[in-house]
Amino acid sequence: MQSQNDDRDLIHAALAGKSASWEKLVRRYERRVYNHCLRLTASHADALDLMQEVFLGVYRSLHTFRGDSQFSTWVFRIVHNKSVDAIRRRRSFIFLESSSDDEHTSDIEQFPDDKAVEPEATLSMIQSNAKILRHLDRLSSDQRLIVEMKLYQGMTFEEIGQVVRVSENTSKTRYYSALKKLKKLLETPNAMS
Amino acid sequence: MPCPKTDSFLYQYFTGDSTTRARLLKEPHFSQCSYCSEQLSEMLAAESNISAWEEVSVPSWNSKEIFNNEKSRFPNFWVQWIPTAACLAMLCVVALNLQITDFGNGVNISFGKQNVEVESLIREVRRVQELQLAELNAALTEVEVIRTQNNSRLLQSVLEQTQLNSAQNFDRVVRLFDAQRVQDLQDMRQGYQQLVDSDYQTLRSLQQLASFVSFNNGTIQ
Repeated sequence: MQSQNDDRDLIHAALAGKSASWEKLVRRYERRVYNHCLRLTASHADALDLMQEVFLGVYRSLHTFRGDSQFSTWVFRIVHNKSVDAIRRRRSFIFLESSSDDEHTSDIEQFPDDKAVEPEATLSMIQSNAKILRHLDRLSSDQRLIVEMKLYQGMTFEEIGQVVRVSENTSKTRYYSALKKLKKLLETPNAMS
Repeated sequence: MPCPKTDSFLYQYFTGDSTTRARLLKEPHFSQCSYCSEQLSEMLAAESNISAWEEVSVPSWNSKEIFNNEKSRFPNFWVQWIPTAACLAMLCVVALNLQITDFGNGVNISFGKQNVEVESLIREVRRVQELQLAELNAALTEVEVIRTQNNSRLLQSVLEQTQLNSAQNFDRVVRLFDAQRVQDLQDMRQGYQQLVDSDYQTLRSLQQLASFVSFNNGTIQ
């Protein structure tokens, strides 16, 4: 509740022209949004572009936020819309284009420029994330977006339903189907390597 | 061995909240059915596998750029409504102050409030117009009478001078003078008509001038 009130204060201040408040609001959500975009695009550059597009959309619609729902849910509605647009625009991201996992290379497997992180830990993180992306890539875009919102954003099925504009039961069914598909992929040899 | 309850059980488990999950795990069926437990373990593994994403830090980017760019595009929220407001104001001015005046021989469209002076001026011009017309008609009649008297006097003097007494010559002279008189009257009528027409034109110009002057006065007020 405190965070919600803080969000509202920041929104009012940002609308009144205070750039510091806008920046604070962005910092609060950018990590979640960026990682979402990265999981969707599998590319640091594309993820950054998509994230900027999302925050541009957030800024332009900020005056329409009425506070009926949580600000995070509202932001993720924009994230969802931009993601759907991005999926339509590009049709497939790099994982969808690659039929063989061995041949797959995307810039997510490149080392980030963060000098503070140990190279070994970074390598492990990169490999782990790349594996997850390959799993997610096997899901349909609907399933993928729902798994994203449920597992990574911790949203309830009711909130997911509001964002995706489907019923709560539909979002539950999609999520369950996605998990079943992932379980099958685990059973298939080499599928998760 | 597959269990008919597995799918329903797993659906409730993975779509339920933490309380539902805990309740389902305590159900006797779950502790007894090895298939359901096995399926649950596999699904949980898949879920945790996917959840194991390690958050990547955001590369540096300038979020203020969005703010500044958008701010410069729309300096103020209300500024974008100015053109619409201006159009509405113009529409109101046009709709409320439009004035159409019928002069009988034409229509005058003007802006500004109704001017009482213009109306009285127009009425005065019309009254003068009618008076002038009546005076012209009276003058015309008077001139015709004078002309006829002059002609008679001229005829009488001619007769006296020429000493003509034969009836034939007299009739011929009378017809000649009569024809001359009719011709003169026609010429005179034609001349007066031209005079009246030009007078009408003068009056129309005067009306237009009056309207123009009143319009200018209206805008100044």
